[in-house]
Amino acid sequence: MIETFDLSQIMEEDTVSVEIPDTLDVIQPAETMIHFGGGVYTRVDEGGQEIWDQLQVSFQQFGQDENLIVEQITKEQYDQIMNYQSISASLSYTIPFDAFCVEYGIPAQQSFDQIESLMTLSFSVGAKESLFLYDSELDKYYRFISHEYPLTLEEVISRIEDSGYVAYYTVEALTGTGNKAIIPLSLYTAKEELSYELEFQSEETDKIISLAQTFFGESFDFVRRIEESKGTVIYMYGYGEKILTINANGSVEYKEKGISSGNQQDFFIALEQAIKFVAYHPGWTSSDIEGGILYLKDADFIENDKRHGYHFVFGMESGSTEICYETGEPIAVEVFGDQVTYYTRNVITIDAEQLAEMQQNTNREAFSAVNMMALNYQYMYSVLLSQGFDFGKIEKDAIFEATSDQILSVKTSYLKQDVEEGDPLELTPVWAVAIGDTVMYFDLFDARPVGSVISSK
Amino acid sequence: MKKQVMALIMTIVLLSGTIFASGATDPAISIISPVATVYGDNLLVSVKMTAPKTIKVSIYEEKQKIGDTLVSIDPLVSVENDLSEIVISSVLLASPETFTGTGNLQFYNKQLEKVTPGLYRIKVDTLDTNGVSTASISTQVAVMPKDSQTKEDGTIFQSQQSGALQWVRNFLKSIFGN
Repeated sequence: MIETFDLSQIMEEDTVSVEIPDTLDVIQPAETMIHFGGGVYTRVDEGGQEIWDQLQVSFQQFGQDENLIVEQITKEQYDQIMNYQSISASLSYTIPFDAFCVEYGIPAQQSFDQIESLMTLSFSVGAKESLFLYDSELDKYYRFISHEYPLTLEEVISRIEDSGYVAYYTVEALTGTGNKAIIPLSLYTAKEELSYELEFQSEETDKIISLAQTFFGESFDFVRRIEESKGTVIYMYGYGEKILTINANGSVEYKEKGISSGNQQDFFIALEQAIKFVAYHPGWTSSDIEGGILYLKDADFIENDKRHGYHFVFGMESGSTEICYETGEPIAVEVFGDQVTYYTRNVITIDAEQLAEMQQNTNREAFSAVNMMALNYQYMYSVLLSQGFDFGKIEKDAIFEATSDQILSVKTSYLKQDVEEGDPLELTPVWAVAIGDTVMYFDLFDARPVGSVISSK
Repeated sequence: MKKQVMALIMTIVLLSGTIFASGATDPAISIISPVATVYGDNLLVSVKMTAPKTIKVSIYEEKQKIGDTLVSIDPLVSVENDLSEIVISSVLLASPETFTGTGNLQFYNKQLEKVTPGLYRIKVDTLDTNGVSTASISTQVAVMPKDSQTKEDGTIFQSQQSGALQWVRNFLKSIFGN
């Protein structure tokens, strides 16, 4: 649900309506996986949010069952039950479970006290009265059993199976190694290079001034403006209490000295603060950002000088495909108490007509995911070694297995590469391979390496 | 005697479900999938190549010949019983595919859909430049109905329940003795 808020309540200017998405609107699963049985899987991109919502509704119903049973299970039991036809939806971060229950309207029960956080929710036809939860913080698995509220999630599996899907298999089934991450067998796509524009350019003076005014309000007349030779524009209030920097590459950075006492902060209250801040500086919703949609990509609890807060990263996707940045992220916000102390924004826009034209393209076959791995395992190995990863003593013919065992996920993405002045601004369709602490990118159609990024975690 | 030897070989092959070869084998070619038993109507074939070779992949259904009729073999029967008493005829499912790999590691993959339960064999020939087979490797797989891959839910979590019950018993014993 999107609400509107009068910016005039804080800026005392002409009334401006600002669209502010609800916290639940920005939470979407990073991976939604369906197992059809027999080792055949698919990944749900479009429709993943709908499945996540259905899992929440089921959870809400379970919470009303006074006879609900909650028990911890082992990973082995979880893996066995997921061998049946199953659904699993995973976030790319964890949410404190008590805050999750409050936000999603799930009646809390005493048996919930044992659960610290949530990353994955799952359902299996092998246990139709159950929902499963994985807490990655404690690496624990839980089973919720309710005989009062029958689940209808099996219908979701049947519907997707009947409507056609891209078949995925485990790395294990395709290569003989032990990795159970899933990769597509073959993929046809209309994706191609996409031109993009920067949201801000430092020479767009009027636009930059409008942006700066959203940060400084009435104090803007007392703000110093510094223009550096490389094109960077800096606005500074006081002795650095507030600093806004617009870089030559169009990225924006805002810092504010912390004054909040920063007591223990609720996840969703902090997220709401972050969303509102973004909405005012200068905007949030997809209507403001052409060709892309923002969503919560990462969330970390942080401490600074005994103050507690959250670091949120908002990612950007176009047509359910993530846009990965070689450097930085679309948006990052740090919140302590009711204060945002750090904000970066490097949002791009993609022409909607270009996207529509791309969808009319004839699909062409992407480079085989498993052979992309086979072609590049030496490169992956050397990158991990250069980052200090310790493989131990392994034989040369064991390098492929040792490397592929580190793969966490293989997805298609668009890559926004670092560019030099004068280079075309284009997104490259890629295979994004999360391996160890790194994400490595390979051209989607010829599998050549095009970059790698060390995970911030 | 010959029949008994063949029966013994067949039994060992079917019970172990491993790859077997007739004649020369190519160390650079190995069949990763399918494994001995698969469930459902999708059959994944994955061949690992550790050298640049050309291979020909043929997929057969092993059918029982009864008179002039070929009948699919019940996969449950094929797993549990000796099939030496029946006459088996290999039926090619589709035209064999030829694939040329490059580099020192590559995978050939193929997925067959709507596969009915039965006994199947995947044969991979290594071809020379003239298209002549110089080595061969095969594997057999029993394709089971999807819903046969079941295990009672109670079985997966039963040990947990048994564990809890055992804990209670031990606790009561500690209080009241045997």
